[in-house]
Amino acid sequence: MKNCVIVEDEQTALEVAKHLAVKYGALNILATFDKAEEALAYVNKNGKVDIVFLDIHLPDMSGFSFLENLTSTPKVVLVTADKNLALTAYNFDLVVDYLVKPLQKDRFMEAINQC
Amino acid sequence: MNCIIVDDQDSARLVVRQLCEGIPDLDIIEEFSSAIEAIKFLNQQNVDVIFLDIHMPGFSGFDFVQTLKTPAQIVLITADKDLAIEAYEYESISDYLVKPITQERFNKSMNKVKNNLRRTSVMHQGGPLSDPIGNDLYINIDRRLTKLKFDDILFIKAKGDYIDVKTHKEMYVVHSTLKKIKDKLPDNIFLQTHRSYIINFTKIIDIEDNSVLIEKNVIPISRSNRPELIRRLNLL
Repeated sequence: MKNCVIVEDEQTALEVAKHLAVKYGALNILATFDKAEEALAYVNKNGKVDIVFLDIHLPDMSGFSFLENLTSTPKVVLVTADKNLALTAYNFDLVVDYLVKPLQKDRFMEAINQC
Repeated sequence: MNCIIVDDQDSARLVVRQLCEGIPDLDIIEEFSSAIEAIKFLNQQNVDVIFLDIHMPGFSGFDFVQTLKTPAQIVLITADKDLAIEAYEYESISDYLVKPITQERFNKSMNKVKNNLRRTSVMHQGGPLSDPIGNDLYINIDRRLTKLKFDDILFIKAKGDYIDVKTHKEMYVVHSTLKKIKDKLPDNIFLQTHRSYIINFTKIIDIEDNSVLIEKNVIPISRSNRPELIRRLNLL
């Protein structure tokens, strides 16, 4: 079973992501974070993280700064309401998919299948 | 890595060609100014990488990706910044480069493509969901990973976003694609007979002109896949 971490500051979006990850993705959620900095420290320290679901607009830093400061190499699925940053996302090799909120089950599964 | 360039503009193809020059083990085997011509070519021959323009007359880059049957890695090359979100819809698109492209960005892209190709070939030899001996496959059924022995699988049928995996006793519906499962199956016993079917050909009872019989199931064979099936048979 793959281990994931969810970084999301919006409560509803977090609940949806948790539900999909467990029910359909058969993923084990190690932790969830509403701030990027704590998430970054956790993921860099914990080598067991296979997948990070990452919001781009976070209160303390952007998802892209998160990616720049990542020292471990999990697969990253960006989850955002902002459609305009997909091009920037292509610059990061760890990013396997870019999902636009609200999350849809089928599209979510496609992302997980690539991880 | 064998690659082709698909772009209606001569100058754009030249630019890609120049970017490729600095990359070791990257061979441009063909260039196409029309997407349709490229598809015809790809029906005959597999390549590793396709450099693809999005805006082409008559047939867009995304139309091209949708019709593609080969498992090549696609790198989009375009002046249009606004379609990256759409590009993420296609798993086979590994990068999206906006002109003008620096050699540095191009090199980074080629590293990514190489890694993706390596990963696909690892999956082909077993992969994370097969056991080390490689005689079975795990499929995700209602949050449960169910083990299927390769030898128990009769055939697999594509059905939209799902596939039906038929064994002697059961029919499993799995959220996956035919292409994905094909990569996980050993090709010494499995064969694609039709765009929607992969069969375990050790289970064949008899073969007609355009179908095979496996237990009580009649599976279609498409004309293009028939020669490969016949080639594999021990014919008298």
